[in-house]
Amino acid sequence: MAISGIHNILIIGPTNSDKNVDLSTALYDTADILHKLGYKTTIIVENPTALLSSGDFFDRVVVEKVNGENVLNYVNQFRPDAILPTVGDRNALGIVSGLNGKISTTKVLGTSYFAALATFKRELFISKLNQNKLPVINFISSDDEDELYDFIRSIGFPIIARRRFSNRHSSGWTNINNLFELDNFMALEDDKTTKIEIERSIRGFSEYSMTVVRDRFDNAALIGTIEDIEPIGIHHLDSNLVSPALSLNDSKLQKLRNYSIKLARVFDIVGVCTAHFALNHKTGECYLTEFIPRMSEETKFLEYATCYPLATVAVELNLGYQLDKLQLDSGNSFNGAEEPFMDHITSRFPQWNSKEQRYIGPSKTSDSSIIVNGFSIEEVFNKGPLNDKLNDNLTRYEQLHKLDDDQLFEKIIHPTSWMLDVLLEAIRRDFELPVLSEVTGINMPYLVVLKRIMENSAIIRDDAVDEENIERLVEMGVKGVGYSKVLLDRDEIVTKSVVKSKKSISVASENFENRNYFVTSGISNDIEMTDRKKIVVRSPIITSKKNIMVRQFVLLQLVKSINQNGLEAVIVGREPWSTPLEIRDIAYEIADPHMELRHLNLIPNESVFKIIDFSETLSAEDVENNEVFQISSKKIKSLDVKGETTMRIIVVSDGDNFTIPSIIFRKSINDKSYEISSFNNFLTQPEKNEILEIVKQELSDNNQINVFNFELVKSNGHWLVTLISEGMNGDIIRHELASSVHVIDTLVKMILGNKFKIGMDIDEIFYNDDDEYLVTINDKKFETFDFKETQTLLNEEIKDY
Amino acid sequence: MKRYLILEDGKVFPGEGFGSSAITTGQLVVSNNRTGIEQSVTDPDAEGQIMAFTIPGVGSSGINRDYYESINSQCKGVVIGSSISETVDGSIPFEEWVGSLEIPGIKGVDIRALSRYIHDNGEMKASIMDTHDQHAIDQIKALVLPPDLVKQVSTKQSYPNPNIGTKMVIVDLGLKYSILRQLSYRDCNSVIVNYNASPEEIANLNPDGIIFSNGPGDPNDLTQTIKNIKVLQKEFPVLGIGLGSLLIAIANDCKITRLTHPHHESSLAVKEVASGKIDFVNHNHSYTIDQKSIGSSDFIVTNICVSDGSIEGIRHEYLPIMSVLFEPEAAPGPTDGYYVFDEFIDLIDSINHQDWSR
Repeated sequence: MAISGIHNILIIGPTNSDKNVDLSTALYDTADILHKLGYKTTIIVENPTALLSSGDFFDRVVVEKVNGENVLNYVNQFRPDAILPTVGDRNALGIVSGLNGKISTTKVLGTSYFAALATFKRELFISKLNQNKLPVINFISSDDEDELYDFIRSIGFPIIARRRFSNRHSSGWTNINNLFELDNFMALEDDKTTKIEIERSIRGFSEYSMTVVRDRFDNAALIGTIEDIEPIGIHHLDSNLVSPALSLNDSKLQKLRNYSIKLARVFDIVGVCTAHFALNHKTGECYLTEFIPRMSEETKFLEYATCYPLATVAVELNLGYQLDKLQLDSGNSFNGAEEPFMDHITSRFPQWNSKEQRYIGPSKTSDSSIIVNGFSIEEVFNKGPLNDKLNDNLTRYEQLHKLDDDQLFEKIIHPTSWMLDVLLEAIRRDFELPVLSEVTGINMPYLVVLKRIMENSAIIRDDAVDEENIERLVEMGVKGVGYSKVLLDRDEIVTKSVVKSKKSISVASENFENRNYFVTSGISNDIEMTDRKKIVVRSPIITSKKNIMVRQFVLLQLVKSINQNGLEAVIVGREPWSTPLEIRDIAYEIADPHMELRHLNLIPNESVFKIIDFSETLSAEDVENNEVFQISSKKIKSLDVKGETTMRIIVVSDGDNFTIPSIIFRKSINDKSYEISSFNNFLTQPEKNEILEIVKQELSDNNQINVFNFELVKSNGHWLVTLISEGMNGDIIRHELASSVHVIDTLVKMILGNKFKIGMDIDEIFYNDDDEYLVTINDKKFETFDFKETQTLLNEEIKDY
Repeated sequence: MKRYLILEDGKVFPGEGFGSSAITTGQLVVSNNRTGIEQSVTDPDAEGQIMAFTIPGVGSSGINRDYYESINSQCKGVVIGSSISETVDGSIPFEEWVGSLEIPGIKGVDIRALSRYIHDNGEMKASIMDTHDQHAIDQIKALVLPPDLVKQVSTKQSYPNPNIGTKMVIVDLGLKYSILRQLSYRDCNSVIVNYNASPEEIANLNPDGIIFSNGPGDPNDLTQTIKNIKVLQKEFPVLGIGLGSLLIAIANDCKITRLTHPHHESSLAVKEVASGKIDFVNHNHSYTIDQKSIGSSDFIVTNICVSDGSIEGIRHEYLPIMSVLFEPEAAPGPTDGYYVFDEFIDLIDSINHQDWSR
């Protein structure tokens, strides 16, 4: 059972998670289970629009800068029973490490002060590991140049070095191979409070990470293993990651497992902990390089890879539950004492917004990631980093093709974001694999896989796909490069290759009430459906790297709304990995949902009421098909007029009538811009009339159910439309947060055949009874005001509105 | 070369052959081991079995002869989904290794579907063949697997594993080398004997304790060994592992049942009943001890499987007899179970042989 005396929990949110879907979903899952177990939650967060939830999900949302001072102020004022820092980012641990002795009886969950501090203070980490005979690389942190040079003389080159700033942040690691490079590094300007950290370089070692969970009774389990394809020297999150770690034999795996569990014990971590290792397969040298006692990108990745609900388990362990006696909600228990088994490979591939090659190294440069599943390395490579639809690999190939051998070799020595493409080109030119392995530090098995892919692509290029090799091609994931039509003639092969649905938790199984089927191995591969009518939510074939947060938000709210309205939602597509636990169970991962849904016969046609599609463009077949509803944003009208005062309004239309539940007002004064949500309540009657007329006029030809986004600019005392789009755009989270009307739910109700009341009066059309207003200053600082404060702001700061 | 894995009920799984091209038949066992294929394939428990490994990307971690669990391979065939033809440590590639052992292999099998099929329909005989016609299926059905699997794998002659510590006799029912490794690590002075070695022969070795090892097959076939246990357990501290554990249970009038879903997984949780402590250990057994029959015996349940609640360990209430169905020596799998050897040695140390023997 849980430890007693905890009822109110303060969650320290991430500083800025608009790009970090991983933490947002972990945060959502955590708050969800806390809510179900009856805890009261408050979250302190800088940007409430970066939460994957609607406004009422937390008992209280404190919109403040996430720092020690504000957390301490909150604790002193409201005395929560506990603080949960493990679903925030690294900053949350920093805050906790500084609260020791300051927060009286309020408990810290998930990590200890010491563990939190050790994630920042390398000397503390190293000394603790040395004390406990855990392998660690010796290190120095000093501002004394003589001391630093003495240390380097004792360990020799190569080394890595970085600057640690007084605010606990640091520069990225720099590789230093000789005295010349060292002198250059030391000569860089810095202030006197900056320390320099140096340690022996383990560049070229293979990198692994192990995630363990541990309860307060000292039961611990290894939840997953991750292997970096690129070696140490390239940032973990810029590397292509594979789970499970295939290159570890039993002896190495158990060694790393034992170290990871011992590490969690040494720092007394109750909850989740990820340990990073550097391993040299030739010499057997192995070092613990880092530990992360919180939810992170790795935990999110492993949640999807293994189906083990890490966020849910971690917070329950934080609260004192025993590993094998966890709760799904207040009624259902489940067993978390599993070391999940994988019969498949899940890979995480970094993505860069820029199409150009970027040099990669010890500092993170990637902007996002994609996660794919497969049964072989070839399959995940073809679905992920070598998937032309995602990465424009053919253009890369053309560019690399033009390089001479020396230029290509330069790209191999200095790795870039196109690493696998570069290696493919090198293999095509018959560069020796052992040489490539030696130079890049990439283990031979991966290079051999690339060679197989190269041979395979030759088959496709030469149009030599036949009965003999088709099966092998599918196993290698060639669907991802656009050969679906050819392959779809063979349904049995397609089914074998692409269906990757997974079930996370199964309680009260007929035979074994305590058995969980986290794993997919022969256990539960199908989604259990009810006989309710289905709405299929289809994510796009081409997964955009941007706006993942918005897509996930819409997806989540859609599914909730569909289920609440009595139908059953089923998600198909590429992206179920980034969804919260609540809806991951109803997701089929299919590479090409448009082509394959029919062929796979996953859902009987007669039970599908509607398909909601996230693609930017629909196929001709879909356009003709009334069953398909396109929800992605599509521009209808655009006018290039700019102004200092603008409004963004969302309109929900049933094809005949509409409502305007949310308006965001924006005004720029000098160098400052203000945004105010739920502006419906500040509009004058003439303004409402004016806007109403504009919307009516613009939508006069519309007879479709949809949401419409209007952008208006104030020009000569009147509002002028500058842009109209239909579908969900980036503003939807803000509109949903700000409006008392649930926009997505309203849309779903219209899709189901409901209609607005005919002859609504103007107040009903602009209905929004929010009493809290979100004010954003310069797109960065979020504050919540009440009506009176907002009115004062309008009157005093934003004059002449 | 196209080959087929054919189950005795006629279900066919196509794939590509590797290793030996011989036709093979055996009991099909689906293993969810994360690692340690060389350990699994050389484990004497695999005698007479075709082993299907559900782990993806088999082979990249390399093959290490130091991890063998017997001198040669024991299994009759290997089934995998995908493999990688190069190893991280430069050791022999997996498929080549299987070939060198002259074991037939089949890859590219839809391993998830196979695993699920066995989960739903139970373990059964299977063959790896070049054709999949009715004749082939009839052949599998007609084939009777040999019952004397332990006889095949047990040492014919006694041999020592000398050291300076506790004197152990290990009754070899299909002994894994890792049991010896663990005993050597604890300085045990061991002698390994045939599975039917007589109580007198064992008593003459004057052991401090006796271990009945893991092994393959149906425990009910080993009637003589069961009789021997009845005699020896009154004279010496006894530890049973895997099959040895089941034989101890039968010797003490406990019932044995087949698990609905056999345990072939290198990391499955067991709970120590007394303390609630959870350990992750290697499991490789299809039978368990019937819960009800324990109630009427002099044994108490010490460990249960967290997932399905089946018995994983028992201990006699007043005699120094302990036994575990899981494999405390790991190999492959987590090392959480090593404590069993320490406990057994502690048990031996804590009693005065002369005082308790009857």
